[in-house]
Amino acid sequence: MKSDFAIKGSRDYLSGSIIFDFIIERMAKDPRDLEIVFYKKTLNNCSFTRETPAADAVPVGKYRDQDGTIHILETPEVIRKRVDYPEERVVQACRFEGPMAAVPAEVPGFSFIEKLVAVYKQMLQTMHPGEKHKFIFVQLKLKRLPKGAFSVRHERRLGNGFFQAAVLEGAERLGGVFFNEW
Amino acid sequence: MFSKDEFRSAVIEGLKRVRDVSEIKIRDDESFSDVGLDSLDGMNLVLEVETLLGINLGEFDLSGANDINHFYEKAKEVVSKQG
Repeated sequence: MKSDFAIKGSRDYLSGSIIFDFIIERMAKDPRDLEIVFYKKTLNNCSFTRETPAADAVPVGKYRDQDGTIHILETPEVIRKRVDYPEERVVQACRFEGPMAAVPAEVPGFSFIEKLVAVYKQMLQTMHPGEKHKFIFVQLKLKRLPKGAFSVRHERRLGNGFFQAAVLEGAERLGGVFFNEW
Repeated sequence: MFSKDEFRSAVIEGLKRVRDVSEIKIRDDESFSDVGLDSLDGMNLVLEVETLLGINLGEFDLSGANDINHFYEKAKEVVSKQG
């Protein structure tokens, strides 16, 4: 399966959230024990396969759930489309309190992963005021997707510029999201 | 507190999970990068070892502990400080 993606706003890379939504909407309904990881930035469209990739394939990432693995591969086709992406609407809809953020079930026009990425990026930027770092979503590990409202709790900085936050639904920890600074 | 043998077993199991392979051979003094670990894999190795041993290594940086010997010593130090 091949994508026809658009780049969000003025970004110089294809957002991981776009790739995640593509998989969840088309290839992995109601996933359990899901994990997605990104290996490289790309500005190209991607192909998605459950087959073992060819040796010369360029992996962008990998998705895994109870049904197996989906390999995300870079294609030679450069993405030409761009879409407006008012991420600040997510931030405005959430309640931030110290290392926690409460995310409502509905922020019109934004998916679960778009809300999660926007919120944790905002938290990291707030924690590092004045620093010219960019924070990029690199990995997500969840038991399942939240059914509605959820919370994000910053947990720690790991080595090599990685950051970890918990994704919670009520008191239940559904898993973690990981960002990298660059 | 975990023993060196328990820690080594957890690291090897963690490496297998992170690299998605059924077998991995690594000496205690062999660099993780020599068996193909990049920085993201390194972070995931820390998470796997935490899960396998039931410990929390906090804000652990594997970059200063890039083989089993150093990883063990640093992890032991972190867990000891937690009491």
